[in-house]
Order: sequence, then C-alpha cells, then structure tokens
Amino acid sequence: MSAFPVEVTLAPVGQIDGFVLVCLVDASTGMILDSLQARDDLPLPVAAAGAADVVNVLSMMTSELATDGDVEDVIVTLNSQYHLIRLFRPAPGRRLLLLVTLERSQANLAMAHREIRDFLNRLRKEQDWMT
Amino acid sequence: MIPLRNPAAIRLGRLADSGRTGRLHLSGESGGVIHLSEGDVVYADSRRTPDLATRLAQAAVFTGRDLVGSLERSWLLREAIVDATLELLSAKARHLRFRPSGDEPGFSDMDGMPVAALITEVSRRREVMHQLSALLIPDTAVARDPGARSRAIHVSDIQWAILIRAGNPVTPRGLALQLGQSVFSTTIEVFRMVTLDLLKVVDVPTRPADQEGGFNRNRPVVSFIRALADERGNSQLRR
Repeated sequence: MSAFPVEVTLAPVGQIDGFVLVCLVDASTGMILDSLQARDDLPLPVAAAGAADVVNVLSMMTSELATDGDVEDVIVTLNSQYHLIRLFRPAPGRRLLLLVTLERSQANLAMAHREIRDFLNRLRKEQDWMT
Repeated sequence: MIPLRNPAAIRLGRLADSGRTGRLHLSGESGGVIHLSEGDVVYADSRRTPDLATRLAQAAVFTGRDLVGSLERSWLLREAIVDATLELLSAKARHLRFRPSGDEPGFSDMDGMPVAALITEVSRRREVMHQLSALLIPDTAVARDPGARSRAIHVSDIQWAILIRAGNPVTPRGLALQLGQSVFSTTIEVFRMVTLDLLKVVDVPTRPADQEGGFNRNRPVVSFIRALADERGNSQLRR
C-alpha cells in the first residue's frame, strides 16, 4: 500500500491474471496516490514516475499534432511483462493514471485491458467523475 | 533533496517519532503551520500555496458539485499538504514553535501522512523543481507569447485556464492561487507551456516571428524519472 492511501480500493485490479502491481498516480505531479503490488521488492516509484513521464510526453505530442482529445491508454510490451497505463480525468484540471503491470506469461492482454477499463468505469459511476 | 540538516525537517521527524499531536509553526514570510495528529501530518498550511478551502471552492466551481466526502476531497487534501510542506521546507524558517493540543479538529476523518513518506515526496518534488529552475521557478513572471507562430494546437482545460489569465505578466504561483491548484503542478504546466511556445518568460527576449516555433529542442525537459535518479545520486553524495 502507498504511504498515502486514499479511499479507492484497487483490490479488483489485483485479481487480474498475471497481476504484478497497480498504482494510481497523479499525472500532473507524479505523486503515487495508492498502490498494490504482488511483491514488496518491486520498484514502484520508478514505475509510477515512468508512467507519468510517458503520458505527459504523449500529451505534448498530441497537443502539437492538434489531435482531438487526449491520450486514453498506453500499452507497453516487454519480453516478460505488459505495462498498461490508463489515463482518466475525474474533474477539470485533474489528470490521473492507473498503471497496471502484468506477467506476460500469465496474462491475457485483451481481457486485462477490458477489466481495467471496466474497473475505471465502475469507479467513474460511483464517484460521478467527468471522464 | 531536503538537506539532512534542515531544521524544520529534523523537528518534524522528532515530533513524528514521539507521536505528538499539535501544530508546528514556522515563522517568516514563507511560513505556515504543519498540523500533526499522533505523529502523522493531517494538514499543512503555507502563506504561499492555496489552502484546502480555496482548492475545494475552485474545484466545486469547475464541477458544479459538492466534493465533501468524495475521493476528490481526499486527493485535494493530500495535495494541499504536500504542496504546502514543499514550500515550508524549502524556505528558511527563522523560528520554529510546536504547540501541543489534544486533537486537530476538522481532519479527524482523514488518514494522516507519515512524516517520512511526506518528506520523501517533498524531496522528489524539490528535484523536479531543480529541473524546472533552468527556465523558471514559481515566482518567475510569464505571459502569453506574442511572437508565437500561428498554428493549430490542442490545449487542455488547465492550459486554457492559464492562457486566458496570462495576457499580462503573472507568475505560476499567482496562477495557482487564482485557480486553487497546486503551486507545484501549475509550475510544471507553465514550464511545459513555455516549452510549447504558448507562454514566454517575461524578461527573456522573444524569438523573431519569422523563426520557426514549436517545441524548442534547446530547452530543458521535465522528467519525473530523472528526479528519482537525481535524488538517489544526491543521497549517495550526502553519505
């Protein structure tokens, strides 16, 4: 658990096949709001900082390209892991991201992508968020 | 990084270790108060960052709904604490005074932040601020860039809110106070907007209009991962 636990329960994400870690990050500041991990030795701050950097660089790219809308999600495929980053906006001016890391040998990427999306949709309805 | 000999950080650590409840007052123009409950920080207030009431009020204006009791109130409180503590531990407090109390009313429904974790986060933010300082700090005056070439660009809601307030010179801190946003995140956003040529630092000459604008490769880039690496490197140097 993060040292700054908030009221979001990330436990459903921990049930996804191949789960390694999940963290909720404020993309604007890079601060970890909450986290859950399968092992204690995982470099959570590095993962969270990297995810925030990726999202912010891509947002600058879409800004310059004048595309309509912002980044929705990013999937990074490594030899042994998937890193799924889902960006969401609970309120104007607030940009949060959910980073989920999965063991590639145990995960079904399409299912995981859907489960993460469904998790955030449920949260959005419960909290009456913007997007 | 937070210097190991920072008096305020040392005092905060001692209060945390002894599980104290009360208020640590930091004097000076950049002073404020850190509220502790049983050794954890439950609130922090700085004269140079928006307080929680301002953040809640501005967020309610944006969303048109009450945030009390919601996740967003929790996040806003966390950010208010870290934003204020960054300011308080970055300034030189002339005088520190701890006033014990029985409880800290108003925040009993929120979990406190362990001081060690708070200082770790504040140290990380100081490394990020160090990256930004090559171009600007929270008190650097910026304004819309009149020399920016005309081009289509997509801006976020917060960037738009900043742009419409930057017709005349304004600082990231001033914008944060107006918008009820974190001084830290607003400074980062202003930094990115300067990089995108949407804003300019007021005392720096504008590029001629006939020169190609857009992303300036010669300007520094902010990176959260680099802040962690720099913080680790500095920690090793201090040993």
